[in-house]
Amino acid sequence: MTETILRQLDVFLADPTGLHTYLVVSALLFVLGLIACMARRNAIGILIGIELILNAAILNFMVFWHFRGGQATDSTLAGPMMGIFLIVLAACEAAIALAVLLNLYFNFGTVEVDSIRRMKR
Amino acid sequence: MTFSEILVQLRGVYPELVLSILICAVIGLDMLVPLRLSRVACGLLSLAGTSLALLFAFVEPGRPGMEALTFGAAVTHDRIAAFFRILLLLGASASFLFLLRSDETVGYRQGEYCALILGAVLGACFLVSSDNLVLFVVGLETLSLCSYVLAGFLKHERLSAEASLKYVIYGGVASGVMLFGLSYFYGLTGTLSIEACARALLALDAGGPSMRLAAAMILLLILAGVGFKIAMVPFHFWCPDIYQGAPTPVTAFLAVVSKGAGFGALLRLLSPFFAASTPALTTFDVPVLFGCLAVVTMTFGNLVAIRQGDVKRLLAYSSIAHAGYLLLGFTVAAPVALEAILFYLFVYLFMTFGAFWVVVVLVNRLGSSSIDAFRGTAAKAPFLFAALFVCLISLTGIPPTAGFAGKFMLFKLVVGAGIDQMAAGARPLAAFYFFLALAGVLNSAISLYYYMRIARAMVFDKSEGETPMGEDFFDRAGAAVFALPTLALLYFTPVLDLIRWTAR
Repeated sequence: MTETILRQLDVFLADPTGLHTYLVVSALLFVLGLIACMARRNAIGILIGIELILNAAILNFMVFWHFRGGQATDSTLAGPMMGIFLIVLAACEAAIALAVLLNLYFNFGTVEVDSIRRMKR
Repeated sequence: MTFSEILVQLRGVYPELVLSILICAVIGLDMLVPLRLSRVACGLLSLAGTSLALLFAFVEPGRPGMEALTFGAAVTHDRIAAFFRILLLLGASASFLFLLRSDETVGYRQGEYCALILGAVLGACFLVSSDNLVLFVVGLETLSLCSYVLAGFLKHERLSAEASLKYVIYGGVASGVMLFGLSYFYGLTGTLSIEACARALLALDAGGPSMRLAAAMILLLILAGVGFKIAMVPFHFWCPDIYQGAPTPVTAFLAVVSKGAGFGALLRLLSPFFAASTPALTTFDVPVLFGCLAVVTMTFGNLVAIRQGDVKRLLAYSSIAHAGYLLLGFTVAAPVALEAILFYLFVYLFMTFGAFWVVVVLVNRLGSSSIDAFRGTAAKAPFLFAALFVCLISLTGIPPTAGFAGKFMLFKLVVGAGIDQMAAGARPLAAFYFFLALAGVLNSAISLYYYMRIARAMVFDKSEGETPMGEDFFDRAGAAVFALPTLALLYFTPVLDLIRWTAR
């Protein structure tokens, strides 16, 4: 474990703005988002976790596009295009999810997911 | 770009164009008519419009070679696209029949309901005909976002609100995980074209153990998103709660159209796998992965369905089990496997809608979807019971129904693959295929028990007090629309002709 971390640090120090750094950041974002989704009991917290996961994906698309040569090799702007679409989709998803939560609050008076369990498991 | 060039681009997407116009029209119409006419007016307009779109899907399915003309090659016109467009639009038309029949959504403006269904189908159509990750993701999310709202359509019902919460959270996580997988997909291959990406992914395995690990991780992450849509174990958690909590017409829509679109997406991602000659790709263990998923999914669905007391919940587990049967088709890398999957999906549409139609009518009259409430209703609604019975034995896979033909094709496919492997000397793989077929047959036997539980309650059990049950002409006509094809498609040649026609 320690050895792995040290090796990662070496790679980071050799090239602090390289592909590797960004991939580690996005992987961390992804894992943190996933943990938030699983551990949070408040629906808003879960929603924030989902946004983190989406941001990890967007970051990945941008980074891969950049380090594959950027505009020089890909004039169709595939990575940024995907990123922009994902930002819009994340906004749509947040809007829908907040509407659902608002309706939930009207019905149950809470957005704690543990107290909303009418159906048998 | 000149106007005529734009017109040429739109030639391949006439059905989608009709749907887009229809969404605006239905919202506009809903503003003009009074609330009590809202259901009939919007429902009929949407039904007519979807039928028109269906007609266009037959008349102008887009020809292979037109790809370069349609949205910069983002839309493709292969057999998967052509077939699934027809399937999804058929499902959408049927959904509007459900809307016109069901009393659950009365009291709400129906224009919204129609627009949401149409939006979901529009997204699904683009999803199954996309050859570009951007369009793929946008299509999938359009389908998902509309489904989230539909599940919570009865906004004053607690069950419906809970269903939409669970759907939006599970769905959001699943699609987020899938997008993260797709980002690596793009990173490793450097292209957004799905066909090129998928080929590269399936060939990554030649790049040594680390590449193999990367490919497996990507496939797993992507399966989280698509497996969620088709309710495959272990991504099935949402299914029973949403099916139970959502209004019944929405449940039927999710069971058929949303699941169908999920299979379309999976086939789209794995399309190189089913191409005629891809011996190098089979080394990626796709058959073993999907075989295991299929067995786990169908066994789980069938075993849990046994002890359900609510018909909608039972049908949810049944739909999980059917995802398992369909996944059997993904274990064989041959064009004939694709045919078996498509045929089963076509049959699945009719038998599932048939079962849900009867449930909708029963819920209208009885106000409950528990099996206990259905007791003794067969005598009062014999025609509906007969239709339900046909659909249930078709879901089980007993002759003389189309479900039998569908399961026969899938199992024959798997056994055939086993015999081929045996001849090629790969004994473990051959044994695996025979095990898959055996598991499928055993599961069908298990499913007979819980399907017949519904029938038994309706025929033999006595109801307590008077049940306000009966059937009118519309109930019978709708049941016949779904049950008759379920019987008639045992003669499966026309459907196979249709599937081959989409291949052209």
